[in-house]
Amino acid sequence: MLILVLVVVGALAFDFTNGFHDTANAVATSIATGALKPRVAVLMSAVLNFVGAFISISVAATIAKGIVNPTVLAGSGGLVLVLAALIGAILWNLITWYLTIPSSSSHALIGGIIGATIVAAGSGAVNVHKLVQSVIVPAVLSPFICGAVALLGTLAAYRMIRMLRAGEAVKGYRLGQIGSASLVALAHGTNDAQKTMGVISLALIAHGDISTTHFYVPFWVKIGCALAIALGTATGGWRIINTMGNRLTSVEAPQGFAAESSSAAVILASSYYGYPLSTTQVVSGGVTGAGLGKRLASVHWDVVGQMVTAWIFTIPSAAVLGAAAWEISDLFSSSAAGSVVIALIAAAGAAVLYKLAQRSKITPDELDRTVAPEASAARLRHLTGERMSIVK
Amino acid sequence: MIAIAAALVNWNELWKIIVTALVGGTGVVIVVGLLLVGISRGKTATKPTTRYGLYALSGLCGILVVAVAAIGIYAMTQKPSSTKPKPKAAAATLAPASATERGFGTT
Repeated sequence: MLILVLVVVGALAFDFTNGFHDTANAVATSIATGALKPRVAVLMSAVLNFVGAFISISVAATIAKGIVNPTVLAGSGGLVLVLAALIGAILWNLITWYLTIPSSSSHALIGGIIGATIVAAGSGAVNVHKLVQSVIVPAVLSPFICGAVALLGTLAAYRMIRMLRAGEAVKGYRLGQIGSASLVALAHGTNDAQKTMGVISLALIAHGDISTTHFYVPFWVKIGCALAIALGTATGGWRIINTMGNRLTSVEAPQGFAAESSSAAVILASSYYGYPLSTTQVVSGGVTGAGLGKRLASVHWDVVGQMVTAWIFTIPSAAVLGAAAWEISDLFSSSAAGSVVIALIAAAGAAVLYKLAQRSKITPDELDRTVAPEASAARLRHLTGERMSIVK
Repeated sequence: MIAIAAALVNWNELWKIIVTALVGGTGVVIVVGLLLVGISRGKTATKPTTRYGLYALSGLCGILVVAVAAIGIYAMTQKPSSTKPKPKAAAATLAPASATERGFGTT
């Protein structure tokens, strides 16, 4: 029972980190162009993530479906494995958050599961072909697809702007940004909150609390996951919002609208056709494409390079962390004792990363572009110049 | 190389996604642009017929944008991956904790 409780708490903690890590996906460009005040933007995103969690009532009931042998997730050994995987994913999410780099929470979870599975059951339990087909290939393709669509959208937007007065264009596209950002936030809630619901449901099945013949997701799981992702989103994730909105490229309202519309279109199309894509990678590709659509030189390729490096390392790093967590738990003869120890180590690691992040804290007021343009420009210089030294 | 790519990439689904994203992503940007142009030009148009025509264009574009958003929300509810597990398959692969104690692959 204790291990099950730890898995549920771990899953909700992962959902929380997923929320604040991915807030930027929906709202970064809206904040960067002054379409919304930072606090209003994250609050809107939090509400839509919460609602999104309930839009599709059916849940993807398997995590890393087809990538790892499902038998390794069964029983109390499976519960410890899932806990180790969650710990690996949470720690990698926090490390990339500290480094201000947008990276995929889903890939972190898959990496954690793969790492824990390899040390627990051997590399034969991982289907490498399926991993490449359903995770690696989409990860490589998705930023390019969204980037190309956003580039074309930006070119089209600036063509249309020639027929408009400057004020009208900015006002109109800012309104459009709010709509497209809302759609991305809703899609994020639908996709990501339900992954955690799937993790908890699997844990409940493995523990014998849910019958496999009468599968359902308990209401407390739905509401818990929806609340965790919404609370995480409401916390802000200002560090990654700054990277996505200011450091990748200088975003104007038409670019922001093109980036968010393209991202929403790619995410929803891939979701509908059952092709798994990372929201973070899609939106990052979209923002970069929108930057290219206006001026090639306005994309900060050093930041893009840091981000791509983090993407490459996400699955291996989360796998190493997940594997380490499982190995530590395996040192103890009792599964419960091992689980408690790795949970405590993870909590300590999270506290250290949080403390370190406070040294270079980014506040919502610093990101606010709805204030006077002079003050906004000064803050932008401050954030894109001085803050970049954090990760350099 | 082509054979490896063909085995790893589901081109059939990928092309559908690319076309849908192009139509949806770029199309919405153009339609919103037309909406804004219609409102902007409508305000300054001197002839009533031109003004109403431009406002009608804007209205049509507004309806299109709302329709695309509605289709997007509909798509969210129709995820093919979000299906319930088949009871027999789930039962075959998942066992309660009492059945195993760190017994990977033994259920």
